[in-house]
Amino acid sequence: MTDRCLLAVESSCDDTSAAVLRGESELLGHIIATQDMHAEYGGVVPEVASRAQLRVIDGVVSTALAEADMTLAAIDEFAVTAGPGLIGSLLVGLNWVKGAAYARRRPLVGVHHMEAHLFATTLEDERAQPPFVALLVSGGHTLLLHVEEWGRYHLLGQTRDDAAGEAFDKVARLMGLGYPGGPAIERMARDGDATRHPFPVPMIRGDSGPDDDDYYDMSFSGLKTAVLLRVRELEESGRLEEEIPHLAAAFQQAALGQLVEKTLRAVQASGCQRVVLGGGVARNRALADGLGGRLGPKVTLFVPSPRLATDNAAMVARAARFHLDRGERADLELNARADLPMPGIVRNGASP
Amino acid sequence: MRTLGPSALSEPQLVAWGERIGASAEPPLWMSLNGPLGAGKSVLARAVCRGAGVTGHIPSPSFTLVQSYRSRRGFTIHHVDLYRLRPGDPIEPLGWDDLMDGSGFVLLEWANRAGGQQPEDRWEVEIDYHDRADRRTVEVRRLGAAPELIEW
Repeated sequence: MTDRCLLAVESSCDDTSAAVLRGESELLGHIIATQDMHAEYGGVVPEVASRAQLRVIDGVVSTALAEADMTLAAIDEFAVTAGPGLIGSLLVGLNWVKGAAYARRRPLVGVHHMEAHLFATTLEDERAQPPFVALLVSGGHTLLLHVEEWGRYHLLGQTRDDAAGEAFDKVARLMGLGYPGGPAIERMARDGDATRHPFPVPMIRGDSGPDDDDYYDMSFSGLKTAVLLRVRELEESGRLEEEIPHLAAAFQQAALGQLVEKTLRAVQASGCQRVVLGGGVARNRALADGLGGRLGPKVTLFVPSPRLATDNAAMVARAARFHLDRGERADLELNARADLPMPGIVRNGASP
Repeated sequence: MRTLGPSALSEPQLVAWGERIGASAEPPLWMSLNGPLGAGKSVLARAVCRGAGVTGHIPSPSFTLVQSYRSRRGFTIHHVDLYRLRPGDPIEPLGWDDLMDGSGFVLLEWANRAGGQQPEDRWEVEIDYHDRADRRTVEVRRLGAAPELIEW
């Protein structure tokens, strides 16, 4: 059972990734196109360019297989991200894997991208098991979940407008910092004084409770606009450049403060003693430090390494392992969906 | 009436106007939304969706580029955001042809990045910052045979 080899492909957004997983956690090969094959393919895979993914996918898969010292013929099972994401990008990975699974007559399963993020950390630390509170924060998603057990997820809160990573990118652009915005703001914020231009932490009115809609939900759009108004003021008075580090620090404090506060609420209500981070924003050290400092000694925080925090096929393989072991199989009707609903979601379930 | 504004609207006024559009404008309606980051394009788009009876979360489409909803009035609303596109990026992967053929609403943020690839019949909505921080300057132009404008 556990020594079966699984090939997984992830192509939901800009990156193209393939992984070979043996058993539950033995990662034999793992390639992420933007990071590993940058030179070979001459630059970052452009946004919305599923054609570029089409160009690299053969190379990504064969390199992952070579790293695992395997051929396609030795793969026992196949998995692929079926959504959510950019439909053109998703289809590249989905059709590749479907074709391979069909040609080899091997089992196939489709994986939900955000569910895969829940599994990422277990590849590095097997203690990151349910029950836990999960905060998944990336350029496209901001989800707060209570993971009661694998396959059973209480959706506590999500963003009402911009995703957390999107807010970092857009605010970085307002301040004239680089892309991606998260690392740029984090770097700039280290030299800044967050108290010089304090922004209110969104969505944390003190009199709301777990039954209120806004108790766990998040919002970043108003904060983005507040930063923009401050930027314009400072621009007019000619002080913008010198104030950028302070603005970055203040924005980061408010944005992360919201994530920390909401996560603490979820920990308190669920009684969970583990918190798992996932998604690109999980690479922000200030988030891990801020959260770690507030969780108390009884709660363990699990933060994936940068490589497993961002989009990757290893986490897709790990999530697929779970679904395959439950006997789930996709047939050739499997299709990609840009708005694929997450499996196992229990809505409005604040407590178990 | 071919134009509305420019007028200085508060956020509640912008939202109320959007909700009225959602509840009463006749499809097909293509709304091109332009204006700087944080001006309120998404606020307006969300209000139109709500007015048409979309329930549940209406997340930013910046990442997925297109979010589609079924309105309670029976038609589809495509909420599209071209923010992440750069000049020259192909837009066919968005299902652009389907949007163009649509019989419902298309709410297109950062519409100027679509260049000339928009239908003749549309509303052009410009939202910009106003001297007062809690107001926005809003201006609408009705092009071609787009539905009649709705007053704020």
